[in-house]
Amino acid sequence: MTTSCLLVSDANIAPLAGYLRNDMESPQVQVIEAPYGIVEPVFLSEHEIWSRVDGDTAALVWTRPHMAVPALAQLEFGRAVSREELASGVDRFVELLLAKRDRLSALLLPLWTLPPTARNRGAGDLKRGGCQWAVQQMNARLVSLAEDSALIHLLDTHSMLASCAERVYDAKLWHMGKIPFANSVFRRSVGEVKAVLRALTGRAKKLIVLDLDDTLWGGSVGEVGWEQIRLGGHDYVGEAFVAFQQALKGLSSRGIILALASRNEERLALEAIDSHPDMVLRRDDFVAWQIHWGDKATSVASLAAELNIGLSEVVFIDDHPAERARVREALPEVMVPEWPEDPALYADALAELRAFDALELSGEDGRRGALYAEEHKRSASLREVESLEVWLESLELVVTAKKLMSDDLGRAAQLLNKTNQMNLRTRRMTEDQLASWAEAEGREVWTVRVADRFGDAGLCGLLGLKGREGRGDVTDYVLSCRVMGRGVEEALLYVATVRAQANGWSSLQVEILPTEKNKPCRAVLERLLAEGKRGENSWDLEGVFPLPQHVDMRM
Amino acid sequence: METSLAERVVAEAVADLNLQRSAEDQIGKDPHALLFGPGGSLDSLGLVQLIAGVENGVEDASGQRVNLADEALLESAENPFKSIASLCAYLVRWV
Repeated sequence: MTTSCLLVSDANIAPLAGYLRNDMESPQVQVIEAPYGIVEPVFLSEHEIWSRVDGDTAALVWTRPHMAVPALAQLEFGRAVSREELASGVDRFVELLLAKRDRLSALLLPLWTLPPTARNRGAGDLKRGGCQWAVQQMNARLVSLAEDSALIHLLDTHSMLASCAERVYDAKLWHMGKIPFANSVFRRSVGEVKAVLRALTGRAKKLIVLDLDDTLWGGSVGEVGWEQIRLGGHDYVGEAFVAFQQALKGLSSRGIILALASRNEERLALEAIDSHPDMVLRRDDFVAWQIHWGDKATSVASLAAELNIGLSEVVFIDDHPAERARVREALPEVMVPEWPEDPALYADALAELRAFDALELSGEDGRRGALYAEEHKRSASLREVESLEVWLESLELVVTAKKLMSDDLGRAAQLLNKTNQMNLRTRRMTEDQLASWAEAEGREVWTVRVADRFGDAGLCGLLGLKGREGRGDVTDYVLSCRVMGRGVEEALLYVATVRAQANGWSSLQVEILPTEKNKPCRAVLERLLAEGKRGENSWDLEGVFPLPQHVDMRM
Repeated sequence: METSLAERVVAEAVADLNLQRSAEDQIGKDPHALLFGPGGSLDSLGLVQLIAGVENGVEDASGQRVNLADEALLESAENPFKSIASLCAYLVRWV
């Protein structure tokens, strides 16, 4: 999948354009380069560059602080500049960029820095009126403006510079080519930009499948028993495993799901997880596990299928090179990172993956592990009953539909942007774009919450409707994979047709925009709307779609 | 500078440039392929980056700071940026 990114700068960032274009990591980026040095004209006018930009394009605007806030330059020549003056300069700059807010899916702004050679008063540079003080004030203002904006995302230039082992600034590159950083910084920034683009387009990873021996703890539990594994204690290796588990726990607490694939005796492995005093991750932190002597690739595939998570959303972490090679070969969609031999480097290696970035967190992110655990129990209950109908009846399913409200906007936009499989047209919109789309005349956005006797799955369905000459179009039909196969698909169509009748639309057209990933959506529509098929990708709906008997619908 | 060291420094600088170039536009490994000048594969931006890359590489490898951004040098018959081979030879001779 390709994403487009517009690069705008007051300096020459052509090396970044080259690295970004050629980097093989997903997503592939189509780079649109604005000529450097004309930030204001680009954003103030209908520059020809905008003809190459569509609503899915993210803009990376990388400026030097003096360009963004000219008052900074005056400060270097001795004129006092107040905090307020700097803040209003930042406000003006951001306002300039927001002139094109409707043309962009995101605005990526690296925090401002000065070259390391920008030394004037030494330590005094960080005192009021110093150049470093001023840049810090500007960044603080930028952070505050980004806080409430769904469009603006900041890149931490300081951590990028700090993580470059090589030189980060090269006076020769600046003087000869107006290139503001050494190439090491641009190479590093490619990973950061891609992590944001992945997060924006719902391609951040969702599930980490972990090995146990020498991955979550040191040693083989089957050989030495849980009391003798290396974990915690006054041992740097044991402490490193604890640090790695803490990092995983942090990811889990914001919705990344953990599972286990280990060649072990299940009883011994679970005993270690339950009993070892220094385990940070306990049994409840893992949504599912495959602990046996079978093939790891099969285990990973089974876990993904069991949890209804696409293989491309899975990361597999194992200390053993042969196991990594096996999973890589059998399941090329799964991300299988090379893994350091030294456990002291595990936590850093996890952070370096940059595969789990989240730009916004909804309340449901933190509950995601619990939601998948509930799903696990639900699936187990299906295996215990004699028929699907009996199982569906036993769920006590309640589906609540309501018109999009402002307090659901964050989660609704997240669902729209992260869902790939059950997504009719894979429209991607920021919160602002979704809100203004929903407010326009003749349009409606409905959200659906699902609960059953196992738990509350929260907001997990979305419906977009648009009226057109007495008829209606379904513009969005989006459902989280975790509630598929329980009649919610039908309930969404029921809501759509009830709303069509209320609006006086004679019929509803459902037209899928096929992608590599939304085949499950097509399969559902082929099954449910077979009689209304009108073309290869479209169906018509007339009358009220029947609601399954087991669904308690509230709207 | 030893030949092997000079070759490594130049190869690393060229490899970095290739990371920015499309598959069709890669600078090949042929030491005599034209780099900068008539028929060469480098534009001025590429040359600037190659100069910085080689200067920094020489400094990292030998501790010596060299200045390759000399217009007279670029225009001379001895232009070291004509090819990978000429650049390596220049480093071996002068560093």
